[in-house]
Amino acid sequence: MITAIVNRDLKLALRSGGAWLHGLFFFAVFIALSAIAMGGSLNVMRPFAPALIWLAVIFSAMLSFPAIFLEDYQDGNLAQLKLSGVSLMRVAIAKSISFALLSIAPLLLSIPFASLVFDIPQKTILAISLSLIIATPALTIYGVLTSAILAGRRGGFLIVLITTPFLIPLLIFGLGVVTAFQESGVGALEIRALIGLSLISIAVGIPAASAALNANLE
Amino acid sequence: MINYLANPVRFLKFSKVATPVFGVLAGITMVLGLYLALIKSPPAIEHGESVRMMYTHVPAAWSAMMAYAALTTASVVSFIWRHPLADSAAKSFAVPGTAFTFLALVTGSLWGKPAWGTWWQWDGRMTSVLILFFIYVGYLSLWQIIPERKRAARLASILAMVGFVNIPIIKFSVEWWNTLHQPASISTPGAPGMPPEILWPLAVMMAAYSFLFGWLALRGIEADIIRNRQSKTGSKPSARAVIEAI
Repeated sequence: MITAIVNRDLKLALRSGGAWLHGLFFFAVFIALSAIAMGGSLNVMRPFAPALIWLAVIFSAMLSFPAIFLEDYQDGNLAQLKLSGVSLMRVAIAKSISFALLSIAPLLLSIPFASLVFDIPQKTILAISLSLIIATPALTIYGVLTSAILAGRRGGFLIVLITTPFLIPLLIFGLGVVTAFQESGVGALEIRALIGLSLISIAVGIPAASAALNANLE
Repeated sequence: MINYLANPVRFLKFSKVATPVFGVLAGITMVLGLYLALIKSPPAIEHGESVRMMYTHVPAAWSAMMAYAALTTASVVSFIWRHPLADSAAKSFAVPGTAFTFLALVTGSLWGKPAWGTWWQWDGRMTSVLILFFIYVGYLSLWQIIPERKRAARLASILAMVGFVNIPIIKFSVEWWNTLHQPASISTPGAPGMPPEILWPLAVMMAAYSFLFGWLALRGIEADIIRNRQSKTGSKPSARAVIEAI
């Protein structure tokens, strides 16, 4: 059932005329705007590059959060899934996978290009990519959770307000990984902490998201 | 006790007595505590007169966290047993909790200026209290945005529980990120501790804040029960048309 939902989401996205790429454009716009705001000097921007890329990914993901359940809730697909006896936990897992594939993966793939415009060394690029890959489950699942809570309600700013507290530890340890990886490699303490955060998010977020979906479909 | 009070009618009977008691106790301890704190207690050696800010700051921060613990307990009860009274309680704990968090931030900032020479420092504790404030605001806005009461209660309780799991993680990570705040000097074992002439006013102020929180929460629950009953029975004040003969 999970693969069926993911397949359907991927097909819908491919036929949507590129709407799933909007997050990527936002990512590019955010980086361009920050470069302009910071004066455009590479020497000034280089130390801030990991932070700016992380912020760009987080904001881009946040703007995609409301859409995770919006359509399926409004056109009755979620209610149909529930009626047909599919566990909402599976729906939450499937939606997390398709969100990670459609909204986060393009950003991860574009990090090397984003790093080009800041002229940062290869090892830092690797560290940024690694930290974001490890953080992807948590970033995705907290988005799925808030989207499940707000399903079908217009609350763009509210979704940012609700998810921000959950994303702060990610931001802190994610940027910690960027520096620690360059100094001490894969064994760095921060990497384990970030993996832990992602695992906690899976353990807490998926059941909570399914409970929230259930409450919205009652 | 909780089972007995779970009935709204019995709760209203109980709160009819308890609310004024809490209110009066809050008033008495507040006046006494402020007298002890602002007039009676000596200025501290390192902090000077500005130590008096502590008597409003520390209890506010404690009550903010106590309120969140109460909010989570009520949310768990509401989520498991779907009890309407627990919904009212959770909502009524969140409002004073938000206010206390805001108060802790403001008094902390006012105390920070003379103590550290700056209004704000991005240190572990201040930042985590700021994030707690965001969590409260998000929780309350969730109540606002969802019109159906039962659904709002259920979704808000899920958010509160996930938030509760995350608070220690946020606190730990923010502290790991940056720490400047003086370590907790009351509860830490081996810490220098406080002389009784400072500890007493602080204890009285703690009691005052707790009673104030209890009073505000009880008032909130009462108001919520009555509002709920009115919207259910539809017994809003009926419209009156007055025709006057000219």
